[in-house]
Amino acid sequence: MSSAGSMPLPVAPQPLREGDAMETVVTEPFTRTDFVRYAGSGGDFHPIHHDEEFARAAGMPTVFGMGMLHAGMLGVALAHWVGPDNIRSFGTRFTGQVWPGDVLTFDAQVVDVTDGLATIELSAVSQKDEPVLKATATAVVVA
Amino acid sequence: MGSGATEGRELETVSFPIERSKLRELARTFKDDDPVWYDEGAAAAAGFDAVPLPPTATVLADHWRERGATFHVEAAGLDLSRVLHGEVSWEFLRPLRIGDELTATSTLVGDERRSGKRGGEMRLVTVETAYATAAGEVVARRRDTLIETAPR
Repeated sequence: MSSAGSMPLPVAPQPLREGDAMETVVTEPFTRTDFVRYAGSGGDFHPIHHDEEFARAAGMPTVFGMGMLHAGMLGVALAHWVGPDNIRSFGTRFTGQVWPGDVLTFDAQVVDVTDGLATIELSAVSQKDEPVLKATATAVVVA
Repeated sequence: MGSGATEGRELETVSFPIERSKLRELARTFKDDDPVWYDEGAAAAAGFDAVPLPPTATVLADHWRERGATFHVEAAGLDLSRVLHGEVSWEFLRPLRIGDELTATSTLVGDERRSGKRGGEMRLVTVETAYATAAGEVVARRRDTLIETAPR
């Protein structure tokens, strides 16, 4: 996947209105290698994400992805839509684990525009129809 | 909120650079092959005054922390094997840039105990981190909620 990368990253605030939706992004299946790569790039060496024995001892069926991995992927998808420098806030609540083999679908929609600032609701849902996060962002837009 | 004699306690301060190699790694991790995320020429060609950062890029601070991204687990006295990341949010006061040297100061702002769904006691710890320039200008804030599930 070039993730959302098929769309160029915009500089200027985008013309977005209430109800506008981001083009849906579907990830490749997550692998243990993806988790290890995020450990290295993001600095999260919590063993529950890469050490099978630790994860099982903690009561998990296997290792699972850091929330910050798929939140980060959602963040770059958002950036391709609204422009990275136009994002004023980004927040997410993690509602489920991402397991090896899972495929996520990212969606986002403008729910309000007030004084040039859009409020955007975002979601990531697994192939099992389980929401793994709910997010909210604000971004500067133009009418 | 909560039970916390510890609320308001500073957990850790760390200074760190926003640097290109780690941004390249992050872009690759996020499976985004757009060179604007790490190449100054590509960023300039796309109209950016500098390489822009993805919204979660403050994680670069964790490379400079002794215990990485889990620094607050020990500092708040949580059991690593029972900790889940519940929430995270950022507020950006200006865009972050390569070459920024930031100091991240993390403070424990909430420590709440609740009854777990399957009995026992769970703990919710909230940590706020402010990212400031050498001149003391706060450019971003982050808030994390960690959940320590009830003992099994």
